[in-house]
Amino acid sequence: MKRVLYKDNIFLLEDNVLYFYEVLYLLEKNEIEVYDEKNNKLDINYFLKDEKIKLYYNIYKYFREKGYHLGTGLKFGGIFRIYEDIKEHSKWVAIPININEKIDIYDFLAKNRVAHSTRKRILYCVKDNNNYIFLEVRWKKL
Amino acid sequence: MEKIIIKEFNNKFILNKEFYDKIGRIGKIDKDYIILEPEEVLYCIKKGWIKLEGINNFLDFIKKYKNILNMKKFYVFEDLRNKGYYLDIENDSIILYADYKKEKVLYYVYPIYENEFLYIKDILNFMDSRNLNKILLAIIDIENDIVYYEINKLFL
Repeated sequence: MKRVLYKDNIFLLEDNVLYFYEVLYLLEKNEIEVYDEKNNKLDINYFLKDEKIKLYYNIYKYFREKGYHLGTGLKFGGIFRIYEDIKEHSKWVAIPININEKIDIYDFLAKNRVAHSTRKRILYCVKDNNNYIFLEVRWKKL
Repeated sequence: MEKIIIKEFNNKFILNKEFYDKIGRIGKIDKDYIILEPEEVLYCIKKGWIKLEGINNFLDFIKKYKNILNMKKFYVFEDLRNKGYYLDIENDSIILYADYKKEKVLYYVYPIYENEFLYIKDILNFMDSRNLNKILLAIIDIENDIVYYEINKLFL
């Protein structure tokens, strides 16, 4: 089994940096092992103690298991970019959020402006207990 | 054009049905009358189409009916109406129709000011209580410009 080093919030396989949420997914599936610099073995729960990471990871896993491709959405103002077809441009910029959260309108507008200008749509992935509700946003010229 | 006289009873605004086309098919027809919401009345007053006893202008109306007037709804109604859309205001909603027949609903509109927060739960309640999978979010800025976003509930 491949050994991955966790150092400074980054996962390394030899000299390659691995995508954070993909490593968590493979870790949960027991396809890799993760160790810290002191050679302590880390399991998935070590990372999911952080509520934000847990929320984001569960969305990553949800889409990955449905056959979507995901990457970081950082450059587009979101958490993930989601591809329906990896050969095409990504369709959505996903923002996982809890149902009780509120959105700042300026943040909403900024994210949507970036998404629109790059031909994507913002997708709020709303966690409601154990369910997800997906709200896709698109600018409408009226 | 001579102004049409509108009557008010217990915060309900009523016009004779014959004026429906003259005020651009605003309001809801109930038998021989048109029932107008306060925001619709304000729009017609601003346009100079109607007159209400004791009200000389736009500001008079706002002062007198401030407790029943929702300015967010008014701004959205005014903006879309001025762009040629047909709308209704009912049960706390603004309904945007495909055309003047007001048969096909395009959107239920959710208005919000730029300095407010958008509560996810409120949006979902708005959709669920009306059995909708899409709404139109209208964000009103401090210069009274409005930007619109369609929000679709997807089943992925």
